[in-house]
Amino acid sequence: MRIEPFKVAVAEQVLSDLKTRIRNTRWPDSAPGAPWSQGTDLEWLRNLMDYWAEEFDWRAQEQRLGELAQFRIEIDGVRIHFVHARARGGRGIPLILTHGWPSAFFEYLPLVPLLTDPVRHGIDGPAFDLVIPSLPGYGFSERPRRAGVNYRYVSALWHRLMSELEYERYGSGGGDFGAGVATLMALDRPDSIIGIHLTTLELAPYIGSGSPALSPAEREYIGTSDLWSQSEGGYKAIQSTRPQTLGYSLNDSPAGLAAWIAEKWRSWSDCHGDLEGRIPRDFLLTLLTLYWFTGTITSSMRDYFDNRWHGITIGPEDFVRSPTAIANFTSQYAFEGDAPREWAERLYNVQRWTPMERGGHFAPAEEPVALARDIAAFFASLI
Amino acid sequence: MTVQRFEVPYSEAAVEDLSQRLVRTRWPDQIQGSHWDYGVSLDYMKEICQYWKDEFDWKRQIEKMSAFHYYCYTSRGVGIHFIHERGEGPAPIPLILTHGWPGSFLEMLKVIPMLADPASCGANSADAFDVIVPSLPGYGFSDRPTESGVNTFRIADIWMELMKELGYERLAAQGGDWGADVTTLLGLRHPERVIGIHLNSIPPYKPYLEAGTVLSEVEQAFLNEASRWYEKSGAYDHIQKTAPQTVAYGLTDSPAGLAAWILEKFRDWGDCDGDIERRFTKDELLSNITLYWMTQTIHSSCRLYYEDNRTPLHFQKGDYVTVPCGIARFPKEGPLPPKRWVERGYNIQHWTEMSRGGHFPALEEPELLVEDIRLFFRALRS
Repeated sequence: MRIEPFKVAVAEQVLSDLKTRIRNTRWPDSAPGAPWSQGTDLEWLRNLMDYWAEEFDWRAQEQRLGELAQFRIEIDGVRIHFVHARARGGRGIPLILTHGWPSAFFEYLPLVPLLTDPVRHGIDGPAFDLVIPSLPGYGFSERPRRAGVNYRYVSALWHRLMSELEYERYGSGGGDFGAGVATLMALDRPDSIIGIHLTTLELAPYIGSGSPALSPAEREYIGTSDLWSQSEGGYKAIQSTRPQTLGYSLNDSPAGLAAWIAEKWRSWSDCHGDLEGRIPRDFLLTLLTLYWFTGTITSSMRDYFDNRWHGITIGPEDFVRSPTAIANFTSQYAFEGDAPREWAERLYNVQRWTPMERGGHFAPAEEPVALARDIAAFFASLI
Repeated sequence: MTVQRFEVPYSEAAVEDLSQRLVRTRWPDQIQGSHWDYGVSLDYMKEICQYWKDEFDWKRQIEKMSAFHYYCYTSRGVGIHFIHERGEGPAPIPLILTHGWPGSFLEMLKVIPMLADPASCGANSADAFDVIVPSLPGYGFSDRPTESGVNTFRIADIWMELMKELGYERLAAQGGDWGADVTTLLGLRHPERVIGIHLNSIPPYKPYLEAGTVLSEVEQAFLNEASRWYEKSGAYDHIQKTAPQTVAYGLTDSPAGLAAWILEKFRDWGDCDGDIERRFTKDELLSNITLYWMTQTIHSSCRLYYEDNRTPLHFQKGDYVTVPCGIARFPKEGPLPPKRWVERGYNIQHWTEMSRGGHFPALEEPELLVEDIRLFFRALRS
């Protein structure tokens, strides 16, 4: 296994082709009714696309990304991309942080200064050696071209990555798919894990026969989350059954890609319906350009398929013994429900439980300081 | 004049633009050896898009369409395109045929002459129909609704207006997919004007059930099967009924994306055992896809799911289709409700178990479908 330095560099031709495609977009008509009621709003998207083609400065973003130490390592026949940011002034607590869908490693970058040099940013607690990989099939990480790339598979890759970096024991954190990966890392190799820190509850615990009766709060959570699935879960239904079919349009049309991804950032962030009031345009377009340039929307969606049909089942014996912190960023615009602590305690050894006043699904991008403080306080309590 | 002649439009520039976009297609990758497991196979997509670009002749398809008489009827600002072919026989009765998604009026081209002029294909001219084939609002050459509320109920009412405008007081109706919903509503809401309805698929309707109704085992088994089917195959419905606009951007901008979205359904729902071209020629598939492309109607067609979700076909107390109903059950149409389930809402007078065919019988098994339509309505001709 060779670790090679990596630098983000998009070819000029790809950028000019992207601009040409945006200018040639063949737009659908607008749905009747209130803006956004039937999906991504036409006028909003036209503005965004206009900015993407005419004003967005990708090279400036690329330069910023280039300031971070990035690498690729080949594991199991695929090259995995990661940021490696060591603690300022000596060894920090090793911590691997994993993003989810539709996001990228890039979502975690706001945490880099805060956690590698906490003192300077007024954060109490230890400094960290951060490892921020791209999930297989996202951005600059390749995905094995076979079925079965699920949380468990990725968690094993991450253990190997940490071992290659000569870390014996480490923390793991994440949200969305990243929370699933962190959970499996702790389930499968608890000896290597200091503790895990989650910003969303990706995996449902076992609630079959023999498990304690559901509390009223748990029942309410399940009810809310079911309603959410009915009204908001179309993306998941299609991505977990026919990701390839959808991929043809999203990989061929920048507008299609932007609409698909932006809708989720708007629904899932704490933005009250005003996405750009919460997530800067340049951030969103950097993310979209990463998906576009690497052509990875289809491979990223396969996570839903593989985790559903080739996935893992949480059974009655499964319990994460490693200390677990859960930072509850549940102020999504499309509210998905508030899981009560007892729900999490069915699966996790919950040692820290922090309800957050603000922030939704994309905590590192939305509330980096609150998240960094919570991570630092949690790991300070474990060492 | 609310009914006017209509000429199928053709634009050389649009054909050229389509070709350019096909040349520039940015293909996704695919899991090795996964074929159709994750959705439409990449190899097949490349093959059919190559054909679309190099061999498919839209102009020739339009010339073939020109064998029929096209009209446009405007109802409250929404133009409805339709084919109208007068029957050749002693006493043709008017028959309105309604297509569904992701089909179009093109599905019906094989059966129109068979129904309008039975003698031309060796059948009895006493079975002739005046055939009317409209395009659903937001589909094909019909206008795209710009206001909410153009749902299957409204469409059924528009169909009745149209038929009255054509001078037909009483009529026969036939359909599948959305066409089955609309046809059901013609029978349900306008029994005095409907001779009978013939369906080649059962809409996902809910009959009115008195409190305490116990469903039969076969009905319960069907509902379970329907929900399993939905889990594996219903995602297109889920996204189209909740966020049609979001999925429409890519489908309107990318011909490959549009083709994949549509032809997946022909393969899944046709009686083809996974070999799509065993049932449908490339020209048939691409004519339909090109129609969606040229008219830019994938978004408006998907919006019918959104509308329907707000006004689903749930029978209320007293709702029952009293007019005679004929059902042709094609085996690959799935999931298939048992007769008991259908009888709760429909006056079933005719029930045919077909030996072959799927969701698009007018394309797949035109002879079987036409013979069943003739047989059913023969008994209702007075």
